Amino acid sequence: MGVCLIGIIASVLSLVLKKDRPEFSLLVVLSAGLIILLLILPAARIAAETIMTISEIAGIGGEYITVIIKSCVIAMITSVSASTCRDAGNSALALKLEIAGRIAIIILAVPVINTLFNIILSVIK
Amino acid sequence: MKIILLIILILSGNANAMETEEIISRQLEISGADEIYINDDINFAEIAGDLISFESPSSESIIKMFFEKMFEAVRESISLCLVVILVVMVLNIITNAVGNNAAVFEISFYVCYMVIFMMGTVSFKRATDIARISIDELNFFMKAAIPVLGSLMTASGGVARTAHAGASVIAISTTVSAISNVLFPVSTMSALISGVGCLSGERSLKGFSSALKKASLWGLGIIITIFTTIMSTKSFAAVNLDNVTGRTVKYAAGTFVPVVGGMLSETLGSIIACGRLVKGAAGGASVIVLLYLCLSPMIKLVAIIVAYKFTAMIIAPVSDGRLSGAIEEFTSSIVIILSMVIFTAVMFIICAGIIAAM
Repeated sequence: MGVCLIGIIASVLSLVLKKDRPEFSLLVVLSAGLIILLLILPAARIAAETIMTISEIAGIGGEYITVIIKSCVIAMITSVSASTCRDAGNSALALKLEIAGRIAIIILAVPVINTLFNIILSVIK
Repeated sequence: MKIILLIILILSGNANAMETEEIISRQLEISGADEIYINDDINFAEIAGDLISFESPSSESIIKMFFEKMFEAVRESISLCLVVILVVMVLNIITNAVGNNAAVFEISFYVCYMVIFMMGTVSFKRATDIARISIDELNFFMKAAIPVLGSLMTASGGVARTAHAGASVIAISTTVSAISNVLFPVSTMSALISGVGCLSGERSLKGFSSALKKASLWGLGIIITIFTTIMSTKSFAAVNLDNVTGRTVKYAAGTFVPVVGGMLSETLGSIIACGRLVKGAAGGASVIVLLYLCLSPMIKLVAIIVAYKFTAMIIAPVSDGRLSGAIEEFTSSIVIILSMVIFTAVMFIICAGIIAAM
């Protein structure tokens, strides 16, 4: 509820401010985005913890679930910040952010890739 | 007078029965059936003895063992499927929460795919290990059982057929090495290639992997044809030769040995008949042991297949088509592995049956 209110107020404010002070309009949008993310953070933590508990109850390798959750979260953060950059008119920067996010995910997945290759090699031998 | 006659009859009958039993147990002992050790649950010589005295193992215990093994196998394979389902669900929840139009999500999808591919490969490795071990066990048992059956064959007057048993040992080891050295790697390659091919979403590698799959199935069919041909044609010739030899020996004993010749010939006949009985029982016991040996790996493989079909069914509506496609590819490769185990077991059962029936 609060999140929705903040979003609507921020967008109306930025619309009003856009004519006279465009730099303030951008600041309003950015701060509203930050507040929304901060409000959502506890809920996101609860969701991640729930998934981890489920994987623990099922008695399965938590490390892969962690990698998957982390990679999805990195993807989320990257896409949010890249879209913010696009709002600010910096689509080139947004592209670089996305590339950085992809590389981060690949680095995160290095242990998974290693394990996968070892398993495949052991199967072929 | 009549009573005395009756007593003599009963006594002689008993004596005869005792003699036959003694011959049978002696033949079973000499054949070396006691020395075939399979595991603690099952004893080859005991089964053969039970079969001679018309005692079959109770069906209740067999059914109980079957269900116990099945539940155990299902429990083992269900954990892997839970991982796959959970990974797919997590991926879906997160991507749907944000919207999967962003290009960055493609990379995280690949990470998820890698994890699922890893699970698939692990379970595929488990399936091939199960199949390999079971084929090795079948091979090992057949190599132990054929000398026993061969010596019983000689005891029942089949010298030419015993020579043929040697050929069947060579045929069995060639078949087993062809299956485990050529067909297993080919089907493993096809599973891995089809798993990788599903990642792209295009059909580029599908033809290659399905060609490998077909090649392994065709190879299996050719091996079975050659094996059964060798086994059956050789046995036809050997049976007739041995019949002629057996008759000649019996006739010679009856004709050329003076005074006791007729009796000797009859005794020879009864010893040969006992040998046939023991050989039949040993053949029946080897079929039972073969069934026992291949039953538990087959149940395990079927449990893995069922669990994976179930997983593909659950995740198909909620996930990307590539994920469920990969799982289905792995399932079909495990089905090929299962068919290899079944064909090997059937081949060996035919082999034991031919040897026992000759």
